[in-house]
Amino acid sequence: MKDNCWRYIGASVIGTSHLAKGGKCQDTHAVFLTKDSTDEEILLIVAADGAGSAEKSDEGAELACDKFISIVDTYFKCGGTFIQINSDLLDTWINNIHESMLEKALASKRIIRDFACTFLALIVGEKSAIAAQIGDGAIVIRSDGAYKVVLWPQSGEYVNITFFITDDLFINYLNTIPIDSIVDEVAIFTDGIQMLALHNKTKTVFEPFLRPMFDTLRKEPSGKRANLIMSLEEYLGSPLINERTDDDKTLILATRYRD
Amino acid sequence: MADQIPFNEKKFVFGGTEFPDNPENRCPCLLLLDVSGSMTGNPIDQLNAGISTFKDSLVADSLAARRVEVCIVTFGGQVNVVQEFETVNTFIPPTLSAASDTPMGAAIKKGIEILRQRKDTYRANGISFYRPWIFLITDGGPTDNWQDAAALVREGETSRSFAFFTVAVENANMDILKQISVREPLKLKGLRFQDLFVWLSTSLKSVSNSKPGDEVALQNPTAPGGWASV
Repeated sequence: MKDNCWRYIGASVIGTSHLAKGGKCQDTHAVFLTKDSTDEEILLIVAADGAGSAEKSDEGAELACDKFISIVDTYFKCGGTFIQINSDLLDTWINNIHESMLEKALASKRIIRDFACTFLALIVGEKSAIAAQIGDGAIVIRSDGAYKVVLWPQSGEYVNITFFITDDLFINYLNTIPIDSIVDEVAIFTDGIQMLALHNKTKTVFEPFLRPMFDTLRKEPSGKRANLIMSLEEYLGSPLINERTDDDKTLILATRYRD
Repeated sequence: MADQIPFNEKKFVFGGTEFPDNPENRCPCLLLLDVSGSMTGNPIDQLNAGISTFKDSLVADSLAARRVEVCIVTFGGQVNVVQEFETVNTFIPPTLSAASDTPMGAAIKKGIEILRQRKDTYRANGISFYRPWIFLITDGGPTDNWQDAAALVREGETSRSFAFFTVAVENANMDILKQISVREPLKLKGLRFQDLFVWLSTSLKSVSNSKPGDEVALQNPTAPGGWASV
């Protein structure tokens, strides 16, 4: 049976430095497979990394991810089509997410900075895709047989400075990139994975890290691969990884490639 | 579930095997140290002991040891680069001796230039870094032109190129130091160099372990029991 549908997996795992302080994992992600009003199959992926210094950043990250999925899904249900999604529409959606975070802050008598998180999103259609980013973390795609970093981690001049969807000037940091080619594999990850999946000096994907995982995923049947999640979580929480990063880490992988 | 993978048997069914050799993030710290004649005797001995403590304290933190880079420029008669930027795990504390006048202005200019070159090296090698710290420690005042140096310090602070801290020992010329440093100079209590360097290493540990979005809270050195007063 021909099976060229998406297979995907994702995990957000607490870092050792948060674990040591008895904290929570401030990373969140969501993956959603849907169809637009023309029956085009659409893959939605979103990830958010809550700021270490913000008290409710875990809630902020969750709200940002939930809101993104619900906005896009509602758009499709109300007759929206994938091909009409452009940078302007993404700007509007992300502005809506920012506003809902502002509302949440008001409702809980807090400031929006308490919910600070980064934001990474990718919408993949059958023949093209569009990606958005505020802050660090990265989006990698495979297109025309090659892996490319479509959104490299944003940071200020210094490594401990980044941008958040909760910033007043978030719109200045928002990067949206349309991808006009068929995307058959994607990897999205937060900054805890950056040092492992990217090669900083050459600004390229470090394929030996990602490829074995894609190889496994390619052989799976379509849909969410729940059977592999425990294995991915265990891997991300293993000493092998923790030796290299003490931060929370999220990794989402999806493939519709068939050898 | 038939397709459940027993994780005891097949560990990391879903794991990558190799990692890129990305270098650690760096946290540069430049020490501009007064070794003019007035530092002779106990002050220079205490300063040397302080630098050793600094190294020992940082090396005890494995991440800081690989991330904090120290560079030492001294001024006493002439400006000397005693230590080029190097991570503390391989840094060998020098034994400084004191003599002659105080070319502080030239030392500041030299230090800022070295720092600029270091940042270029980081960028060329894809190394991420934290905002550099410059620590000027003096018991006197400049005997050379310091106005240009003061302008560079102001410019660097405004553009957030570095954070410039001044520590005044005993009879330092506070009037001029206040004109050089945008931040209020801190007066060292007595010759508590050891406490100063313990504080510096603790602060650098916090910075070098910080993540995007972290606010690094430093201990206030002028709090009661601290090593400084304003």
